[in-house]
Amino acid sequence: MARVTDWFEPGRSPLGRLDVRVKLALGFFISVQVVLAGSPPCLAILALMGLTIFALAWPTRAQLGLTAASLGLLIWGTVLSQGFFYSEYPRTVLVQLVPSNGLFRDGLNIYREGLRYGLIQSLRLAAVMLTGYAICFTTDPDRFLRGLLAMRFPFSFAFMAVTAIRFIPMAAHEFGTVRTAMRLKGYRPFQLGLRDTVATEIAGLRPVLAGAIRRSEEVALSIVTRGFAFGRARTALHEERLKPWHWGILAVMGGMLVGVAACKVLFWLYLSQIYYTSDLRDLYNFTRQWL
Amino acid sequence: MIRAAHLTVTYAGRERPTVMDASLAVAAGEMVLITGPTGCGKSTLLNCLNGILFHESEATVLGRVEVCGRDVRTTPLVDLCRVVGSVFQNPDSQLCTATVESEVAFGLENLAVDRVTMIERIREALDIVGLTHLASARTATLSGGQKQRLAIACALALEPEVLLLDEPISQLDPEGAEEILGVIARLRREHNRAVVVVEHRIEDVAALADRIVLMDQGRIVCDQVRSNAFVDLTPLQRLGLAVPQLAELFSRLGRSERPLHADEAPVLDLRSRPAEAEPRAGDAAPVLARLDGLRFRYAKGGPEVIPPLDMDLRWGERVALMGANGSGKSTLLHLLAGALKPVAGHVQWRADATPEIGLVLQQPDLMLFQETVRDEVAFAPKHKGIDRHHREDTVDAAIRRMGLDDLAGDAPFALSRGQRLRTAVASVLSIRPRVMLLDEPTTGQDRDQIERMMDGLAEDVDLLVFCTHDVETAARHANRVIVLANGRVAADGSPRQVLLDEDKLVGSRIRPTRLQEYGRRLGVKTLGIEELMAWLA
Repeated sequence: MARVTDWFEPGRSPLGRLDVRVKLALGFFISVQVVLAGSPPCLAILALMGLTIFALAWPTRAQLGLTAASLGLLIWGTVLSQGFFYSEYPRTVLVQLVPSNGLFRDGLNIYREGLRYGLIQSLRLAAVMLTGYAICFTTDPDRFLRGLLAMRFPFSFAFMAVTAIRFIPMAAHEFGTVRTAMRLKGYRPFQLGLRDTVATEIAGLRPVLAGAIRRSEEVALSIVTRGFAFGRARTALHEERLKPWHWGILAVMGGMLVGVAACKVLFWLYLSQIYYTSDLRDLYNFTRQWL
Repeated sequence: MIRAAHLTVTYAGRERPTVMDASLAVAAGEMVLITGPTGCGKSTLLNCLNGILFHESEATVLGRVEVCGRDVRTTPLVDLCRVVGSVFQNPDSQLCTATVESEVAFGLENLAVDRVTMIERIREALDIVGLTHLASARTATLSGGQKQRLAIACALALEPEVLLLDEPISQLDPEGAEEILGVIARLRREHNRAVVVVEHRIEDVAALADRIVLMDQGRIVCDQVRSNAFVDLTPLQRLGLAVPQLAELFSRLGRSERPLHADEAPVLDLRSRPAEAEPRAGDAAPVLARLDGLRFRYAKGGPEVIPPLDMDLRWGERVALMGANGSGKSTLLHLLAGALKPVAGHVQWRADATPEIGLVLQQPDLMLFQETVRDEVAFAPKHKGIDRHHREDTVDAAIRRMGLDDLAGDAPFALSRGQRLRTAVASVLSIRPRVMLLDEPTTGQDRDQIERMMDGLAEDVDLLVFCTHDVETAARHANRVIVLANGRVAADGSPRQVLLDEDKLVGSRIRPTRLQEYGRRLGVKTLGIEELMAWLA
């Protein structure tokens, strides 16, 4: 069985060999760019960048499966919800599911423009998701902790965050075991009505939460007896160091981010009739068409 | 090295102290085993010695503890950890980083040890526990025994004078336990450290201890050097603890020796020679289930956990599934229960229909999700559609069978470990299963709990299949033993046929009992004390 522990093989892929801070910066870069960008070609380019970053993580079969399933759900959910609830005009009814009535004034329809808009939005989300997954798949908790410390995060905060991440797979495994136990005891969702289902589903979280609390107590005991204390000075066996080409990547990303932001600001000033100069007409055109 | 005087600990919200007037002294280089039934206060006592209860708990602690001349109450924990190292029960949740090396470094980093010294200490600590070759390995890939050895290395890296181990082998298989006992033995032999071990697997640890301390209901009821600790076995038996087999044998023979190991025991004369091993019980009974070409793998393209497996399971059988970790025992149970689907082959039940099957998982805590024990036991009958009238009867019967009558209104999470296991079993028994499957029911349980549970089950089902590493449990409660190796049947027969045949056990990592080892010295094959007593003069 492909295990979650197989996921962290930092040195295996090109992305895995990057400094954690560079990877986090990549995530930040893509996240900000998808907010700034509005045109479909630009979003498509960003989604392609996300896909490239994901490919550089050299995902395993299990990781590919997980990503494909998540991506499928994301695109399907976004496209369908926008298809249903698109409120701009003009809009073209593609399929009418429910004719107009008291509840739905215009009927319940799927709009062509909504589907298109949903598809564009899902490019935005896909870019971020692919980058995020790639970072998760190639960063083990230890290096993540070292990265956060190198970024001057307080140790206690960083350690707690990373420890919580480390125990997610265990909690997920326990949740799966609880579901198996429930199934073996005859439980099937909605078999005994909605009320029983809701109550049982909530109850099913109980052993997982109890396990999480027990585990956090055990971890706390273990670290406290090994000299862990808030705010104390400590040394480090390993430290993250940025190499010159890491600085290069950071500089390129920073430059692109500043450039796109500047274009968007200047274009907004022009649209708002606050500032205009004919020297920037090419830039306005570029921003309108591509960004 | 350790001086604890008149310790009384009362946890917040409890009226009765968990530890009462306990005094203990441990000298340098001495090893002390603290044992007692579940909930007797032995772990609480240990957490007084390492300072946790003084500094990180709302419990009221009366009395005084000194470790290496430092008053534990007034010494900060960060300073105490330089003299007291602690290792806890659960190998998974006491490790907090991703690699072996960084795990050992964690404590040293906290104490701001410089990098050069840190590397040296990591090397030394890993060398003591024999994990040097795994320094860059990921902690998640280690076995239970290796994780526990790593936890010991983490403590040793801080160079403490005293090492406290809280049930270090209770959750390990025999192989893992052997590794830990080897490390403890090495610490005693080569390093002059005081070691205090809390453990209910007395037989395994007692042989290494200088003194045995017995606790009951918060009090130290016996504190003896090892040679005297087993002279009178009544206290251990009264508390439902597992009495070392050879000590029990010699006690019942009326002899003064109390050996713990076969090589410590005098060779006695045999009065009679044993008869040949009997054929497997139940061979003549009708087949209840036929496993026909059963195959299973967890992932497409992954290794086959169960290669084609053919096997008959018969009415009345009590089957112990044994074998090394990863041999396919749990997978086979899940396939029998229908919790996993085979990739090929099938399980064919020879009843009119597939019988009701109950499976108790390896972590019984994950089977408990209702608010009260009664609700928990009633959950399966309710969801299996048993009518209300019959449901009440089966729930009452299951609660009674597992001895939970007084706890029916209690929350399952508030119960002791043994009670939680019995609740999980009762929650399955309440559907009146004809086939009962137990996945390592003995892990972390003391002998009394195991006996109560297995006795409660034996009468009620047509087929009982349980996974275990424990030869004694298999010998006592099974009439058929199947040893799996890489999903294949390596040995199959009566407990005597399988467990006494060393050739069949090669590679299965099944460790013979002390009684078996002693029998071997006498030239006989035996599994039970009564049997050996009958042969001995």
